[in-house]
Amino acid sequence: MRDCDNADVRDLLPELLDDSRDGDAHRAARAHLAGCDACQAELALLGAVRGALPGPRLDVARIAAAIPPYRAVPAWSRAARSPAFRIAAGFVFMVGLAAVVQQVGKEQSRRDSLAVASASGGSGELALGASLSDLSDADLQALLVDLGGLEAVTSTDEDVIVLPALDRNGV
Amino acid sequence: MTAPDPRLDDLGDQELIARWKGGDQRAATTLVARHAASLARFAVSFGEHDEIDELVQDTFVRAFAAIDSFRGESSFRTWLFTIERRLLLDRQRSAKRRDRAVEIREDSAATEFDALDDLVAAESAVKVRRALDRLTPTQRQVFLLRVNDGLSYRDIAEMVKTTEGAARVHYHHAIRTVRELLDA
Repeated sequence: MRDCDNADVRDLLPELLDDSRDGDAHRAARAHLAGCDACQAELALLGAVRGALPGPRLDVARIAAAIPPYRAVPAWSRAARSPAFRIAAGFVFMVGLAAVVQQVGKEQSRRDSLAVASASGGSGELALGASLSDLSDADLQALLVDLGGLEAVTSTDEDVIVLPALDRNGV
Repeated sequence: MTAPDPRLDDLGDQELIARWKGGDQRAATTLVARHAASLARFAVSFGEHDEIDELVQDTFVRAFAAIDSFRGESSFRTWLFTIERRLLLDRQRSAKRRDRAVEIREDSAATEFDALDDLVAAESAVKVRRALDRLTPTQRQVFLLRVNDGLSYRDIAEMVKTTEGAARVHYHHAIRTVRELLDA
């Protein structure tokens, strides 16, 4: 048998299996059904399908007994589960992480520049890494010459000068 | 266990949910009685045959535990189907992992469905079941959701993750295939 051309009615046929459906569209479909052999055959087929699958038996009482009483979820908890909150939390976390990484990078960079400066032996700065034992004899000699050429710095402290006691003969 | 109250049968799902929130446990029992069979049929259409009682119970327990997230954008039944579908997918994934190397025993399906087999012993019913087995999983789900539960194409599309138009096409392909197989 050919399918009925009335697609709207055919779409509604499964709903006509339930007598409780009683909208305008359903009433119109039932009116169509009365004079359409193709739709009647299709409805009978749908009824056979429904009858062939009654479904497994269930213990409704046991299932219902497993449902606990209602407990309201706090509003803040509901908000914390929302996608918007999770996105915002993720954003804050990423910003915080970026700030920490940047700070660590800056600190590392400062340490590197100090090390480079000390390695290059900049004038007027103490060499942090090397010791006198690393210097050759020639370097030591040059260093002594440089030290000898430095101007003496007057101390601001009052030095106590202790002179040896002299006898009358100047001895 | 709380006995269902016949006076609650006339109330809509939303009203029953409100009553349950207000402490009336009989409202939950009415909702279970109203929707459990549909959930069981959906599980069968999904290819599930074991421990359907537990699956349906798990669906209800999860649904009621998360009832505050149900905003009524779809019907309560569609929402239940969506939760059950996730559980079914989880089950199938873990079953695949667990049973990949295990041979299925011949009698494995003949447990909860002995009683069902009695009911569908009629030749026409057996033929219908065989015809349904020939459908693709999506066709079968769409077809049975429409025929057994009268869900709208919009709700079906949401459940099986497709479009409304595609759900309609699946339905019509399914009915043509079933008819051809029954007429053969």
